[in-house]
Amino acid sequence: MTTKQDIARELARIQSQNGLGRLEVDTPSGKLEAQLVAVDAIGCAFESLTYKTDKLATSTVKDLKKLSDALTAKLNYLMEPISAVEFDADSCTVQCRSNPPQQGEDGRSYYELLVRKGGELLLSRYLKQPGQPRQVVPAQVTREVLARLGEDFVGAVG
Amino acid sequence: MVMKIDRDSSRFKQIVRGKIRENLRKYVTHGEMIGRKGKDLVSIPLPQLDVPHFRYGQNGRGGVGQGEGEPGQPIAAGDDEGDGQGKAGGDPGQHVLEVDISLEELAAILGDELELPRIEPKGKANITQDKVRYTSVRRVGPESLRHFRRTYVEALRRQVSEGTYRPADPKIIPIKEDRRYRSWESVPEPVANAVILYMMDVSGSMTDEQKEIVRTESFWIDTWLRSQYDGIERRYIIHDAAAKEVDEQTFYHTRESGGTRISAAYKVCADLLKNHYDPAEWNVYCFQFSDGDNWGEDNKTSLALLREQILPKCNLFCYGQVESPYGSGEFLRVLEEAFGDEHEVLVTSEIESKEAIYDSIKTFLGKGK
Repeated sequence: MTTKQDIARELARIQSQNGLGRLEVDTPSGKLEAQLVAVDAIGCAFESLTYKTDKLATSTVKDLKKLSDALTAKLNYLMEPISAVEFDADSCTVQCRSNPPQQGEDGRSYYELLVRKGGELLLSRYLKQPGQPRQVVPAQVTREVLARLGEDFVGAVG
Repeated sequence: MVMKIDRDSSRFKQIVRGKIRENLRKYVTHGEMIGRKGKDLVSIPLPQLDVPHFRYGQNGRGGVGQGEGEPGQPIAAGDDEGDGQGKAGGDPGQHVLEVDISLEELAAILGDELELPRIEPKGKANITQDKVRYTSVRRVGPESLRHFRRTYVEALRRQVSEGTYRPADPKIIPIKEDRRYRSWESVPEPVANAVILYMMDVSGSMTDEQKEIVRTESFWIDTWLRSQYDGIERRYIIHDAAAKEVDEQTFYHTRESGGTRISAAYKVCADLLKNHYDPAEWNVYCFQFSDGDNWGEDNKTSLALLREQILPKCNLFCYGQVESPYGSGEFLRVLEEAFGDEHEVLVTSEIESKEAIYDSIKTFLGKGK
């Protein structure tokens, strides 16, 4: 089965459990996980999408930067384009965010993608309301987009 | 006797000061006049002052009538029927008058308007020491200090007055009485007894707009503190994941792409304080600006450095959190949770936009430390 088919199968399983649950898909190079808070026939909402892989265990910041550039170039179907904001050599992490963030009536919201040595790709969506600390909010995407995200994460690491 | 022109000039200055006072919040918020007139003067645009000027009529349209005329014929322009297109503008014109004002005056106005208390120096405040300045000329002195031009001029003057100077053969031969020597005077000069350490986060998440806010706020802080101390030293530290001391120009115009590690800046700051500024003799002011988006695991190290090595040496430590486009800064909250009211030298301020600079300055300097 392909990653896309595995994700579809997991979404069907979680939908049958009131749309709440943890999506887990094993791939040849790692494991894809998503914390889902809603699933219906068309779309779903996830709090985090993670791809854990040993392939990034010995990566340098330069390697991770290259990987994040390739990945952000692919993720052009999200609500806002994503680009690298900061690189941290000490923790060997690249931080990418929506650029620019989306300005809504209730505040600013944006995607944050962390690419870490170790290795992990973590995608979350945040909302910053005036006078409040930022908080993780569910990212709402169609089933197709979630499957594509999963495939792109796996494909980017190789 | 006071000349009329002096009275007019004095009145003009009063009007200008009044206008600056009225609009100070706007000037503080917008940094465009900073640095336009060098080190000692700033140039402030005052659009509210309207210079009297002639207004011309409509040439060739109407005016004085010629001949008999007909009943009902208009004798001036402007009698056309119907509504014209457009209306009179409601906005003020673009008469911008710029006035130069000294930084001292500006600081005084700032202090009055923000009701900033006078700063009470600690340690050996207002220390002066004699510095040698070669400002005068004497008839005696060591040959090494001989003033050749003055000596030549004296010899020339003497030869001309004696009639021994011949333009065809202009030989100038100084004698002992012609010789002049540079001499010095001891001038008491204030010794710098206050130091301001500016720290700025220049990581990838700090945008140009945020740095402009920092630049504007730093300018006003600098202006105020310089008005309070005779001599003042300034040091600049920039950081992303690493920190270094830089000059003023670099401080304001650098952008890096590294991650944010505030502890790196604190380390450099602590080293500077330890090696150069004995807190018993120096008034130490630290101003730190960041978007507060510190990499999580660095908060603990930062707080330890601040608590143990920096705060005990400071008159005032100000942390200004400039809001990033993502609003993801958490360091302000971390500081408040860690220190609360425990340290009265620690002052924090959240600067959401340029408009918040005015209140932020008041927060920082309102303590009179």
